[in-house]
Amino acid sequence: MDIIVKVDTKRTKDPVAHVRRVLGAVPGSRAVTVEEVFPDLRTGASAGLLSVHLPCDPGSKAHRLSVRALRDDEAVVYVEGPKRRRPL
Amino acid sequence: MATPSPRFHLWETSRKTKDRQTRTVIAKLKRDPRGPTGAALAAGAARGARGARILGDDAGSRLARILENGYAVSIEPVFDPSAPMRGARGPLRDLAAGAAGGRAPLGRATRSEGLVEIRVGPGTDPKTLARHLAGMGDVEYAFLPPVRHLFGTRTKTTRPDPLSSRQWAHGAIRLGHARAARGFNDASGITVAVVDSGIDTGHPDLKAAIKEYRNVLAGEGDRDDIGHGTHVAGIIAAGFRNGLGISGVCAARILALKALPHDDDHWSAKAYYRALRYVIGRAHVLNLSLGGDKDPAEIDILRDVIDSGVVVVAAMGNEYEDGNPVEYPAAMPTVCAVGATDQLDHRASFSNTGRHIDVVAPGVQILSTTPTHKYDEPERNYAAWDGTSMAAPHVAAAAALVLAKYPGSTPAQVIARLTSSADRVAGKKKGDRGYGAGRLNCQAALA
Repeated sequence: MDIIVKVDTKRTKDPVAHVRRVLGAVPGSRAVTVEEVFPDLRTGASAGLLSVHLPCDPGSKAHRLSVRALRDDEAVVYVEGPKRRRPL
Repeated sequence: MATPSPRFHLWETSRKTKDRQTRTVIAKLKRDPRGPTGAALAAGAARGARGARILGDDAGSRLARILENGYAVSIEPVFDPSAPMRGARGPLRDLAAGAAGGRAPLGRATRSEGLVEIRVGPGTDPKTLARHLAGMGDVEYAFLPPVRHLFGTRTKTTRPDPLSSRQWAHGAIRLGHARAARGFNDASGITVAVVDSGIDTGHPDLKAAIKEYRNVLAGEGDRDDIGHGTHVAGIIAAGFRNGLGISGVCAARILALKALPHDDDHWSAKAYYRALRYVIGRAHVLNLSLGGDKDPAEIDILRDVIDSGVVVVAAMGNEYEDGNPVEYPAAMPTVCAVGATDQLDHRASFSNTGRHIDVVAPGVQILSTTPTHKYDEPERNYAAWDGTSMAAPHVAAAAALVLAKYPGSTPAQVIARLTSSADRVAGKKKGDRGYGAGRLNCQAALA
């Protein structure tokens, strides 16, 4: 499942590498896909947004640990699950 | 009373000449049975002083002096003497006879004989010249020919939209009054982005308004299979007086972005975010007839969008009777949150309420465009739908009209104009959080 992670671009120059490093330290976490939502955008409120694909099951321990590791990281501003939008 | 000196008189008043004044004087020369006829005088005068002297007439000589002194550029008989009318006699006959080598034309005389057209020279006041000519003994009258206007009106090249009478919302938001006001700008230079379920690019009432269409969803076709985006876009910018269906609130161009999938599995937050940010530098207004839970990433992106000068308008939501949840992005403070009203200016029963509501607009039985192809609903081409999704595009289009009239306004200024001019409607009570500032009033917003 995809989660959205925002990394403070003032704290790290390479948000993708930073998130990979954080998740790499989580026991049991498998290979993840990390992608910048707006590649190379370093200024503005939408800079540092990443789409992170965690291959593990959303209810699994590995998933919980991965999300917790990201939330505990000082360079990570927030971690959000998908917020679907629907027509009103 | 003595005739004033022509030279002084004409020069003195020449400064009063107006650019649009006719530069021609028509004079009728008197018939004199003993001397040369008026037309002969005119012909002589037209040849200059020498010609007039040859004719040996003072009047001809005076006319010729007007020509020679530059007060007139030319003096010509009104009726071509080489093609005399049947029965011409008197001056015209003489003139024609001269032109035709002495052969007098046949036929009757007319009252129009002796008419000459004097083209007034630069720096000479035509009125003064006419007065001067009228004072000459040999001139029956002289005047500035009045301009004749065409009373017929050009046939209109536009045709009324046959379903426009069913668009009650336009009356409610005073759109007709706004359009009739002096200086109305239809916002054709404004782009409104619609991030939604797509758009039917082949809809005849919409296709002229579509500036760009992008499908940001991978794994889903370009068609609007829900019809929602097509309906929203039609409310904003369906062709006005194109003889088809309905008309939009404005003539803005539509930047349509398909980000709401038909199949839930195709939802992509990343694609949605990219669609939101895509409008920066490409649109002036962003309509979001969508909603859901609070999303900090969406807030961050919309913050950038608004900082870039885009007015963001969002629907309040339709779940008032299902717990009245707070919907985002409408609840974002810098977004214009729009609720729905019905034909009686009452809040629609489904329209969410809340502190963050800015304004309300019609959202019940709103007739607009629907896909011409097969989609989720049965009604093709046009249909009337309910929803705050239908209210928001009225406000988005009004924002486009405001931006067209007041270019350079910030999003906050546009929203302030829309809310401060809104009508306090009958249903609104003190402390009521269902109406915001009131119901949209385009006429007042553009005043």
